[in-house]
Amino acid sequence: MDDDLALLDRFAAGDRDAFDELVLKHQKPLYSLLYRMVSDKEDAADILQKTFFKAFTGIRGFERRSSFRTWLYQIAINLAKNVYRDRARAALVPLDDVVIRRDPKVLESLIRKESRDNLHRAVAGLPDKQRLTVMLRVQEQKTFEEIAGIMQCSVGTSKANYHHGVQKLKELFKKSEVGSQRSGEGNGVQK
Amino acid sequence: MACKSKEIQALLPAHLEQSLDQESQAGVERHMAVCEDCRAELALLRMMSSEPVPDPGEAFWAAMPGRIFREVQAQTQQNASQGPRFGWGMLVTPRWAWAAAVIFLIAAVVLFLDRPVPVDIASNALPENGSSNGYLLPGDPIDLAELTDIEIDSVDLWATGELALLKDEVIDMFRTSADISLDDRLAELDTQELEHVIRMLDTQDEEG
Repeated sequence: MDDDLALLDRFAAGDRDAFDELVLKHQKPLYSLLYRMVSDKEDAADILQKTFFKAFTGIRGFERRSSFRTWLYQIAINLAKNVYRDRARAALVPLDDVVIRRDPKVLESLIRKESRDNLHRAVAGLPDKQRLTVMLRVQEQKTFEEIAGIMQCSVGTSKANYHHGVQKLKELFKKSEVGSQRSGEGNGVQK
Repeated sequence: MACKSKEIQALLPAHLEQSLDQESQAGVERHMAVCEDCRAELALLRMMSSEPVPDPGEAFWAAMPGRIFREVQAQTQQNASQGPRFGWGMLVTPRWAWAAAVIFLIAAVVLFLDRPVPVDIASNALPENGSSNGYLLPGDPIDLAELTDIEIDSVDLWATGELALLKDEVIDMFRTSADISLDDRLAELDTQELEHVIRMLDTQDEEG
């Protein structure tokens, strides 16, 4: 029997240690995924707590057809998606533009991590399913079988989402790099 | 130029994790030596996988189970003290309830559609444009209260015309039939019968 299921049974029987063990086991990988999805420490911590709360208060809805870990990932991804979308709607003005114009010191630090920012932008430009699949495969090192379980699709679909996602990511990243080079030249900034 | 080798591309994350067997690892490296696109892809994946995640600290991790447990416990106690009550939560679980509701709804719709439809008297009134279009069936009642002034005038005009024609026909029939039948009958009598009739009439005259 799955270790997690045994821990769930112990928790259902009133064993508090089993509860702690489940949270301690899954909190760091979940936090890592959530942080990469929402790019904010407080939001990631908040969603992590909500994920466990939702999982344990709705434990009757867990039908044990997938692993407990897969179920936790499904809950976490759905909660993070909402935060991500709300933020995308609220972001009417690109933050970088505002910061660059107001603070030249910040500009220097932004240039140093320019490629990383371009990567963030490229990842953010992917469709939801492709973005999540690429993140789960590359950053969370999940297998395609695990991704299929988390995303509730076939293994073939998860492979296709990964392939299309990475191809698109390369294009977007290239465009972003070219765009920031031009913008640097326009501002008289030498890389 | 974009690489078409999907097999190699699919192996790149595992190559990054160094989880490939020796043979596959060597195959990927041989391909990488000649494929710029896959080298760029691997560099991008490496950048993604090395993306730092800030650590909230041991105190955060250690406190997390207790914090969640208290929240879960509070929620459980709240649910127990309130008991079942109407709320969005009720819409979440029992599937049998949803199934029963759907069946009930379908049955209600079927019964509604299959019910006997009452005759709408108003719809049988003469239409304003004077064309019945087959709506008025023989024997169907007409509710005069539902008719407009124009419709009543039309009916009155039609009825007056129809009755006038009927009246003329009846008068003609009576007059014509009386005249013709008396002449015909007298013409059909022979001499003896005529004499008998005359005698009978004379007797009646005498008797007064």
